[in-house]
Amino acid sequence: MYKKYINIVRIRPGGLCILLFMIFLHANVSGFAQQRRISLDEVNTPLRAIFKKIKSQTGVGFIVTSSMLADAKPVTIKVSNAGLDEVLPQLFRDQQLTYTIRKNTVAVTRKVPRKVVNEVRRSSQLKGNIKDESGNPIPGVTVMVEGAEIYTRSDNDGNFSMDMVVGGTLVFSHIGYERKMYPLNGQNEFLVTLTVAANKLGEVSVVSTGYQNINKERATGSFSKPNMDVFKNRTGTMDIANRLEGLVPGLLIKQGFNSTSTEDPNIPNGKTTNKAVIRGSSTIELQTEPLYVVDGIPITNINQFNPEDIEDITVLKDAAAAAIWGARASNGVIVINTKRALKNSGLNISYSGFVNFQGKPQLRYDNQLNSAQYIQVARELFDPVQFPYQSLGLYDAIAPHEQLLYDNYNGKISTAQLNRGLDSLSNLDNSKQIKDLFYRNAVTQNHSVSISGGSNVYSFYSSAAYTNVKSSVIGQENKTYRLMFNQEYNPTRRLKLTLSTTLGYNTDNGINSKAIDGKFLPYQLFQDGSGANTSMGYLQGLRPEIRADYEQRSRVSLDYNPYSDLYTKEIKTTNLHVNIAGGVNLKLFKGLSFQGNYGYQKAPGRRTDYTDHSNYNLRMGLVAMTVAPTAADAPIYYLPTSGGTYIESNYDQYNWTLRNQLVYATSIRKGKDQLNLQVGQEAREQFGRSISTTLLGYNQQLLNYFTPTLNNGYLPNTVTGGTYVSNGLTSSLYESQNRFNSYFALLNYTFDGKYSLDGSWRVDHSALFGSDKSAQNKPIYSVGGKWNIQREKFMDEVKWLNALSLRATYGITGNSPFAGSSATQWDVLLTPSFFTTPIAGTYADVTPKNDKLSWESTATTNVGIDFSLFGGRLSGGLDAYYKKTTDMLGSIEINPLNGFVSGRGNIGTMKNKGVEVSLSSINIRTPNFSWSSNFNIAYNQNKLISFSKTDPRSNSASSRFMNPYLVGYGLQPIFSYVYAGLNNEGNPMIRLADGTTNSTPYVEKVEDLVYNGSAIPKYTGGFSNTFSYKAFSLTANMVFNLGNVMRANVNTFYTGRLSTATGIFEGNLTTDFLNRWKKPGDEAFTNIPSYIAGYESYNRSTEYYNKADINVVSAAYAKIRDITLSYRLPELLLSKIKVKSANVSVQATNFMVWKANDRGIDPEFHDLTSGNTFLAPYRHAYSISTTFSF
Amino acid sequence: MKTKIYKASGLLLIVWLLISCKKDFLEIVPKGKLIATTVKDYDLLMNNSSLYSLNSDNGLLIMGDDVAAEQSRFQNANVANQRAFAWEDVIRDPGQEDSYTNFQLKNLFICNKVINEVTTITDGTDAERAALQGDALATRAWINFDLINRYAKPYNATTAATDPGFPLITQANINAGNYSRNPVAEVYQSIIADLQKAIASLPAKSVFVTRMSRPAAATLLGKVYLFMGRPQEALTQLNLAFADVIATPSIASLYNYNETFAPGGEFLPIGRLGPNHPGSNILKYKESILLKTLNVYPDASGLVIKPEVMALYNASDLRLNFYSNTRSDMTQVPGGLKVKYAVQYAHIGIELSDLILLRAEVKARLNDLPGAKADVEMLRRNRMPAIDAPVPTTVITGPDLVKFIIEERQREYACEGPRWLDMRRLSVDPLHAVQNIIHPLYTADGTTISRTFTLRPTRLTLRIPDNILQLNPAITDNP
Repeated sequence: MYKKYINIVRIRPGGLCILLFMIFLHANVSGFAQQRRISLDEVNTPLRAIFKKIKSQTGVGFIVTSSMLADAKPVTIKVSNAGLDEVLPQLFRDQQLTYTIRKNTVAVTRKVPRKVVNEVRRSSQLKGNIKDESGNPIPGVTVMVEGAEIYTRSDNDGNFSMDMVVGGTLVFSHIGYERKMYPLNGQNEFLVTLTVAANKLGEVSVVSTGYQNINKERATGSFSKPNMDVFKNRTGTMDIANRLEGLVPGLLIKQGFNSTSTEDPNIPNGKTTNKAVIRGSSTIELQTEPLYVVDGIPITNINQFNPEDIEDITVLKDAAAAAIWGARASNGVIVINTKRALKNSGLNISYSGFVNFQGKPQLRYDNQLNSAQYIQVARELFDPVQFPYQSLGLYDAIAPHEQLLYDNYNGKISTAQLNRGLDSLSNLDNSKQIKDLFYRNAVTQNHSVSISGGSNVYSFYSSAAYTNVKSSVIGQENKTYRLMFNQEYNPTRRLKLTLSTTLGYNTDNGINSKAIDGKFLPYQLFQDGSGANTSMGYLQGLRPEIRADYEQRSRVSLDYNPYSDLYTKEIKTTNLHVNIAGGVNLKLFKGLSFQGNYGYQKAPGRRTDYTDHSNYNLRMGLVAMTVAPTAADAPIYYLPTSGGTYIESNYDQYNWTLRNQLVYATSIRKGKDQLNLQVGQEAREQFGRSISTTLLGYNQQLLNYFTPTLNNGYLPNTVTGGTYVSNGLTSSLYESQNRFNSYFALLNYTFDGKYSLDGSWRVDHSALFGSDKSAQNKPIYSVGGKWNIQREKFMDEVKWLNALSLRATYGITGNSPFAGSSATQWDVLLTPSFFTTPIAGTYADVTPKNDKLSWESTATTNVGIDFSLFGGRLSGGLDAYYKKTTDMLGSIEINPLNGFVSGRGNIGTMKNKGVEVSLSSINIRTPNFSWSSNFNIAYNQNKLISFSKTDPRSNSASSRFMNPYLVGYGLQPIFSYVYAGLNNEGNPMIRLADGTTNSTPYVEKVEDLVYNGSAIPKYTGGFSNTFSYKAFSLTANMVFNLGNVMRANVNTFYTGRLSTATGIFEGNLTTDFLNRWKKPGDEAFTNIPSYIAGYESYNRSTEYYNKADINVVSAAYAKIRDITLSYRLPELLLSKIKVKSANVSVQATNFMVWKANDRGIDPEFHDLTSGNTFLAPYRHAYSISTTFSF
Repeated sequence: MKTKIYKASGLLLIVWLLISCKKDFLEIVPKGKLIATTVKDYDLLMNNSSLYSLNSDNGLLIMGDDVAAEQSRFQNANVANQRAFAWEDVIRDPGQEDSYTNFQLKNLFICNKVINEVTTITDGTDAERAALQGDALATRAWINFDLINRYAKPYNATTAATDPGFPLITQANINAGNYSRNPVAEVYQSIIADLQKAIASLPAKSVFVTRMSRPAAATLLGKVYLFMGRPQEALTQLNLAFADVIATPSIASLYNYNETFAPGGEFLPIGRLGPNHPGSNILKYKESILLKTLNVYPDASGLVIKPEVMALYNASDLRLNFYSNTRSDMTQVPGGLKVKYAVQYAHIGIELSDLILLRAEVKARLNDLPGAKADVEMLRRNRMPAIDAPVPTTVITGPDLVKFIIEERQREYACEGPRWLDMRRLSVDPLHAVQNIIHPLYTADGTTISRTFTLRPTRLTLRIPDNILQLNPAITDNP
């Protein structure tokens, strides 16, 4: 052995100057040293230092070269009173070095490279087989000895072999599976089972419909699964739908809007996301959101779940996948499974957390005028003859610049004073104050801790999480606390019980926030030089002399100070969500089992809304209810002069679902065929209730309040004139309840592992009111087939093809017309919640019966191909579908002579057709570096084919700008005028269909408009790339929307006073206004119409410009939604501190890669049909996140 | 043994599964909803506020020739109002709905539902059901009278049988169709028939003033006859109504303005929205036989009273208290123009003053001049000092008196809408037809007329709303 050491030193390449230290320890008693005990507690300590410590503790010396020590990895070790034979293996485990113990020395040598080992000892080989959980071989798994340049890959049968190595770690890795490691301690045969990483790129073998888990090989329907790694890393939002963007072909996520809705607007605590549309809208008036199912139970409030607790998501897109969910499945279904513990696993504790910084919104998104420009324009436009001071309304706001101009015109101030005043305004700029006073940096943070573990009999997963969302708006804060406890209990072989419990508590606080941005008067500061808040009474519209008179007589201040007003209101909302889902699975006879799923959700909530007396609206309300004919009279107040208005609303809702089914699964023909049959019944109830009370003059501390002395009367001669007194002490009460009962059956048959057949059938009955019950016996069904081509004999030769299958499905899903308030047999009368008339009792409204109402049904045909090539290096799928919705439910135009203009009815037929492609590839795969890509694109074309009644609205040109749909076109069609420039008076002209130009308003007909396209993207998709190098990985996700158009935001101010509006923060213009037509000849170089102060402006139409074709632009864009760099801390190092794995990531979001418009519009923050731009809440978000598991 | 337990429990589960869904599981009645089954249900339906608090977007007030407008304010009014003021052919853009008509048609649905269904229920007594049906019939007549006076030519006995009127709608069914315009004469016959049937079953005094009563239905029938040029039949009905009001004074009585405007009077103090009177205080409905109101702010969008109308008042007329040169928002009206700032609620149901003036006119037309004078003075005594109340001595002949009574109507109702209906019916009255009907638009100084709009006779009849035409191909529009 020593010889070998010498040899190695000799053969070491490039070893020009080798310093050999030989440390000899002269000991008197041989063997003594090895019996001495060693205690070490080192973290990342160089090996050299540890050798010294060992020597000092035991006297044992080391023979080693300095170059070996230089290459050695630092060591983390903690031992106490350990023997040398225990310590040394730990020290050398991660090293490229090995050792030999001699008498009182340890000789250190380099590990022998493979070739040398081959020569030295070659007797045995490392070999083994790698399978997935269902026993299928996994080809292409990288098998590597960690740290050494030794690796191989498994073949098509999952087999691998390599030369024998002892010491070190054998690592199995595959892009679609969890990494697995084994210590190399002499064992030479490995039978490895890799668990699918549902969250990893690549093939996923199991899909879940919520009713059953199907091996994807057998599933006939169109299922998609998002990349859960990307889902997990998207820390910018806690909205589950939002996190799915670009990950599922055919799933469109609406960005930039605060899209939450409630199933029942009267019970607002069950808020849910309203962002997802699967495969285009198949309805005009109904909700387009998919159904969310969590652990087999439909859920109304999906966002009560912590994204961290989600294990797996399956999106069901066609009828075969979704029809089993019945009447609610028309929009597709998103099936979510929460995390569960593995059986026979040790205790696993993990932490994950992130902090996401979004900063402040971009207030000057539009190019607004600056103060100097604004004042200049104001001087140009001021027209006291057209708008006499005296003819302005009582509540017309008069902006400070305008007041100066009027005062000068009316002789109250001199021209010098006017100029001084305006000049000082033009030097002010409020943008910094708006940003500092009304906004702050938005931060979201989330921390989750989970514990899981289990034996054969019992396993559990539990988690606790805290989320804090601080939006950029001052005063808004949202905190959520969540607990989850999932348990599985298998008392005997035949019985399985599952129980999952989630508890969520959410608090949401707000104040009297104001929407202030660059559209406000640019010179209006909110604080003066000394930091005192600025008073802006003019924003409430009362001119100074009237306000003074009101104040004098009522003795109540009518000062309005927007910054102080922020804190005059306190809104607190607390919601509790309890969700319990239990399951029973009992094996009865051979293959027959009973399965029960039971879910109960309860969500009590409370909102309190306290508006202090200092609030402007409250003070103004008091003034309006104060009688004081002159300033000398003592005012008589009919409303409290202290305290505040307090509104407390309590909500409660519960839903339960009960499902019992019998499942029969068997193998036929000696296991060649598989049969699975299910029949069952489902019952559901939804209940909601809300009650709200208003107290006036409420004192939060003393809990006392004021009882108004006047109710439902007229109070003449108040300070503001006279007023009607509505009952201030109001309570409102609302209750809704609905029940459903359904029967269903499912069938799956697989023949010879090659041909699969699926079928489902379901009938839904709901509680009815005012309708004929027999109309409900309309079943929903689907059939589907699949051919696994690669299982055919003739495909055996095609080695590069790992999987190829063909799917086809057809099914009917539908929406019941009976849910909600529509009735077919009787008119339904609605009672008002309180009486406003002196007469005792009334019915508030009538919902007329519609005896022609029928079910909406959507027939979906879906054809798909799935493939996997080159050992899984390239895989993907292609789906084509045709969805036809007939008797679409919605608001129908009723003949107005029948008393109603609209009502619930069947409005027409719509079709959606499309193609979806998804591709996953592993482009480069070396042991240390890999690059994989995921691409999906979906094309959807939707078209309204027919409409049951001629819609008169579609026959006028102007209505085409407002209609969200039109027969013969896709939804949200955008029409425009053919712009013909300005005429020599600066008025817009359009080209009519007959070729003539026109500037006279209202002459255009429908045929004079051109169709530009739809605001709904034709193509949507995502493209993500992941690069991994050793422990680092970099993922960039791009999303894109193509093929749609939008109206650009244009200046719309062409007439009237340049001022601000009452009660809101507006008044500024875009810089486009500066380029408007001003004098004849300007039409040669501008398209922007002239400004005309008053009445004559009715002789032209500026809409000809606003809605012109030149202002319709492409809304296509591609964005890097997020880019994430993460680092996996070395496992072996971590294992020393008892950490199984640890990960740190940083992420940045929202980088516009490309947009088709040249107007600087971000289509995500733009109302595509109206052309209005929204305030983007942030430009880029940055986050840092970490996960640990112990 | 174990297997047996599983088998047994499995069977139990199946049995439970089959019985678990009880038949009444789906039989729940939602809260806040109801299907009408009793007389009380239908009765409460007739209390619907849409039947008495009407949609204010009805244009009648703007089309009357008693108003003018200030350009600087009126240019900000909504375009439909500006077009109505200019008596343009098209008031609403194509496709835009006429909300007032829609509102009345919905009320018609409620009436038809009650009329058709109340006889099929078994609840209540015959008299209760008949009275309820009478209420709905009279209300239907009131709505039809309103619609025919918007969309058909004024009643002309010689052409009424062929003049296109408005569809007669008698069912409450949203899927009904095939409507065409019934001739004007048929519509009037239907109105008369409904009212006659109603009068037979209605009580003298209704439970509340928003509900039909016998005097209300009779006054309406009298008004209908007067519009048809049949004063004799009108007189019979108006006398019937008078008899009820005299027998039961609590039905309606007049405010005496001499008292209410006297120190400490009920209409005082005069605040910034005018006196505390029925026009501003909806709870003062003492003068109403049938209360139906329109919420209006005539001055807010720049409407002023024509100076010619202001000239009709005696200086002592206490109704002048309703006018001012300060608008209700406390801004000044330029020039010498006045606004009717004190009216937020136009009463367009049936007022006692209407009954009085209708009967006075009918009597004057039937040459009962003393009777007519007595009636009109009955009102005037309550509106001005007694000394100025008598009809001026210059009014001598029957036509003079009719003219005076029509002017009294203007004094009583200026800028509240009834003038438009009077303009229409008088247009077929050769003696009293209003000539040269114009609307002036004043510039900011309040004295210069910048523009004048003239009413063409065809526009006494409105075009039919576009949404009705589009969905009813058999209906032809007015010229």
